[in-house]
Amino acid sequence: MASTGDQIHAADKPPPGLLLTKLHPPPTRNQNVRRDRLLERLRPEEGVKLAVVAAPAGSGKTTLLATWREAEAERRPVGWVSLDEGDNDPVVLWSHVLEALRRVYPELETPRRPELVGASLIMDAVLPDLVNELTEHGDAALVLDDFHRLAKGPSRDSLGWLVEHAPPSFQLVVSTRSEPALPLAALRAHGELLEVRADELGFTAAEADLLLNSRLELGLSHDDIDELVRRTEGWPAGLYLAALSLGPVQDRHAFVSRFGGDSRHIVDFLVDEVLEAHDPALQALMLRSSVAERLCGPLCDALLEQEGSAEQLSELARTNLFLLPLDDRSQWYRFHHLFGQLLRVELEHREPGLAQALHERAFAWHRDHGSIEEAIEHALDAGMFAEAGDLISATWVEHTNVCRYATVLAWLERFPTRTLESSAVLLVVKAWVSSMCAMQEEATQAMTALERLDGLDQGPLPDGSSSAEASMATLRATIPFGDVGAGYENAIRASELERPESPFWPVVCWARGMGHFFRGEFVEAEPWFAEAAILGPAGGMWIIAGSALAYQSMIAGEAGDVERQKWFAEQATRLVRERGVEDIDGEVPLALGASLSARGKLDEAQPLLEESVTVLRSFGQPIDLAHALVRQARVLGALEERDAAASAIAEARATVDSCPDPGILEEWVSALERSPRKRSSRGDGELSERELAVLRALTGPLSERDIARELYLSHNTVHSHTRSIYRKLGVTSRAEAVGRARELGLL
Amino acid sequence: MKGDPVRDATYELVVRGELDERYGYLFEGMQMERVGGKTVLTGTVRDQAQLYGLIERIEELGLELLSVQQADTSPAGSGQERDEA
Repeated sequence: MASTGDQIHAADKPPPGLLLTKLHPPPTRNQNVRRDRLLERLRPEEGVKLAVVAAPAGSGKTTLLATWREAEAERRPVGWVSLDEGDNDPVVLWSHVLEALRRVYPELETPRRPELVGASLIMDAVLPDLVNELTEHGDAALVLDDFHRLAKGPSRDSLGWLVEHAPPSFQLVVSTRSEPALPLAALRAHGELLEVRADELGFTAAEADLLLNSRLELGLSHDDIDELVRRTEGWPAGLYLAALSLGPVQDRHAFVSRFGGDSRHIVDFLVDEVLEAHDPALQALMLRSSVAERLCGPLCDALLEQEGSAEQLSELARTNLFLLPLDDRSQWYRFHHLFGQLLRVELEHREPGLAQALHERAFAWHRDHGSIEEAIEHALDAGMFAEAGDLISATWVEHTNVCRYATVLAWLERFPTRTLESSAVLLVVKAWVSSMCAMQEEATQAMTALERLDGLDQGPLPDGSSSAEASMATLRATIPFGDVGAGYENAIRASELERPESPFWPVVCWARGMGHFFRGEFVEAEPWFAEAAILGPAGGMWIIAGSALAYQSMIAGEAGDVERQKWFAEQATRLVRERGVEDIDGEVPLALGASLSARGKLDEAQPLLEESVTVLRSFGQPIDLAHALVRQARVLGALEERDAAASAIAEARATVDSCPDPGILEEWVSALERSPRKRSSRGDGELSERELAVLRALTGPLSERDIARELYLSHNTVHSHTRSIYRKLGVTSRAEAVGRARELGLL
Repeated sequence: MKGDPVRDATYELVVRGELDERYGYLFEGMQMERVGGKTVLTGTVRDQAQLYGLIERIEELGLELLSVQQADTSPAGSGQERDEA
C-alpha cells in the first residue's frame, strides 16, 4: 500500500527544489590564474575511474575543477553538481546528478526518475539503468564539487556503488576537504585513482607573482611576493585575502612587512583589512548577507532592509573573487564557503545576536517567494520552531510526492525533542513519512507520542486533513504494516472522521477499499475504489486513481467478468503512463498482468507481474507484496516454470507469515501450496525464449526503449526481461550480461 | 570504528596560528589561549559528536589542526578509555 500511500497529492508539478544553480560551475574569470601544471595532472589517463582533489578550505579546488571542466568539455560531456547538505537525501542527489548529465548528454536515457521511484529503488533500478546507459554511450565525466558535505549514509553509499560499477569510459571527479569515503584503496591498487592533494594546490612563488602582479596588477617586488607566500604557506585563499587587502593600500611593501611580522592568524589579520577596503555599505552587505547560502538582490534587500542590493552585488562580484555568480544572468551568487564562514564570524563579532534576526528575515522572504525548503532551513536556524513546524506541516505532501522523505525527516531531526513530542502537527508528519519509508518503529513511536497529547480531534491541520485523529486513522488504514484487520478498522474510522472535502478523502476511500478487498469483501470494496478513481484525478492523485482502477479490474476478475477486468486494467495503465507514474504504481502492472493471464496470455503477463513484484518489494509493505507474489506464482505455475513458481510461493509464504493479520492472503497462499508440483523441466538459471530474444538485442547498440520498439514490447516489459536476465546470469550490467552469455555459449 | 562515548572529558585542541577571541562563539565556550604562533582550545566536551563538531568548525575556517588530546583523565573516565590504534 505504501506504493500508493507514497504519493498522496499531485504528481504533475515539476519537482520542487531542483536548484539549477547547483548544476553550474562558477564561471572562470580573468583574474583567475590558470594552473597548467595541475590541469596537466588532471589530464584523463586510460583507466582512471576516480579523480580526487582533496585539500582544506580555500585551496582553490573549485576554481581548478571549473577550469579543468571548461577545457575538458570540448573533448567529452562533463556534468557538474555542487553538493550541499540537502544531497544527503539520495532522491535530491540523484535528481540533480541525472539532470546534470542530461544537460551535457542529451542522448542519455535514464528511464526512471529518482523523484518518482524513491530512495529504495535508486540503488536497484536507477543506478543500474544509468550504468547501462553510460556503457552504451561514449566517454563522459561528472564533477561533484564539495563531496565532504555528504555525511555517512545512502547518498555516499550510492556514489561508492557508481564508482565500482561505472564503465571505464566514465570518470567521476570530486573535490573534497576530507578524504572521501569511496573505495579508494581498491582503486589505487588497480591504478584507477588520480589524487591531487593540498601540497600540490599551494601557490608557488611564480604562480603568486602571476596572480598578484600580472592579474591583479599590485606591482609587488619579488621579495614581497616571497614573503607573502612564506606567510601564507602558499595557501590560495590566504594569498587572495592578502591581495584584496592590498588593493587600496599605498605603501604595499610596508603592508607586507607588517603582515610578515604580525603574530595574529593570517585570516584574522586579513579579514579586518579586506572589510576596511570596502565602503561601509558594502561591508554591511557582505556581513549581513553571509547568513544565506545563496544570494540575490531582492533577498539582500530584505536582509538589509534597503534597496539597490542587486547593483551592489554585481559590483562586488566584479572585484571580489570570493563572491561567485551562480548563473549567467547575474541574479544569484554565493560566497566562497570559507569567506562566507569568516564573514559570519565577523558578523557575530561586530553585531552579536543579529544573525538570528537575519535568519528570520530570510525565512520570511523565502516563504513569500515560494522557496519553501530554504524558508524552513532559515526558520530552523533562527529557532522559529512554530513557524518551521507550520510550514513543514503545510508542505510535507509536496516533498513526499517527489520522494524526499529523507529531507523531511532531517528537518524533524532538527527540532528539540520536547518541541517535537509536544507538537501534534509535527508528530503527524513524522508518523506519515516514517511509515512511507517502511520505518515501522519510528512511525509507532510518533503515533504513541501523539496519543499522549490532548486535542487530537481539534482541526483542521495545515495539510488540510480534518484533525490529527483523522489523519492517524487514515495513515493506519493506508499503511497497515501487514495488519489487514487493523487497517480495516482504521479505514472505517477514517471515513467517519475525515471530511469529503479534505484533500485526503480519496486516500480514505482507497484505504477503505483496500480494507474490504483484503478481507475478501470484493463487492463492498468496489464502490470505495470507484470513488477514489473518480475523485483522485481532481486532486492530482494519479497513483491513488491508478491503483483504484487496478483494484476495480482485479475485483472484476474475481467476479469472472473478463471484459470489465480488461477495460479497467487498460484505463489504469493509460492513466499512470500519461501521468508519468508507471514506475511506482505497483498495482497497475499487477492488474494488467492478471487481466492478460485471465485471457490466456501468460507469456505477456509474466514480465508485468515480475515488474509489479519488484516495485512492491522495494516499498516494504507485506500485504501488497504477498498479493503480487500470489498472482505471479499462479502464472509461473501455469507456464510450467515450476522452480520459479516454487520460489514465488516460498517468498509469499514468508511474507504472509510476517503479517500480524494477512486477511484473505493466508487462504490464497495455502491454496498455492496445496497445488501439485512437478519436477522442474528447466534449470533455474535458464533463460526463456523471450529473454533470449532480448539478450540478443542487448548485444547491439539499441537502447532498451529502442529494443522495445523493435520487439513490439513495452519499455517496462523489456526492462523486466533485462532485470531477469541479469539475475539469472548473476550480473549487474549490460556489458557483463553479454560477456557472461558469450561464456555460456548462449549467443 | 565506534569509539567509546566520551563523557564530560576535557579536551585540548591545538591549531596553527594565533586566533582572535572573536572565534570563541564558534567553539562553544572553549578557552582560547594564544602561544607561540599557536592557539590552544581547552574545554569540556560532552561527547564524540561535540568533539567532531569542533573539528568541523576548525576545518570550515581553513585552519590547520595540529593536535587533539584528552587533557585530564578523571577517575570516572579512565575505565572507558581505550587506545584504538
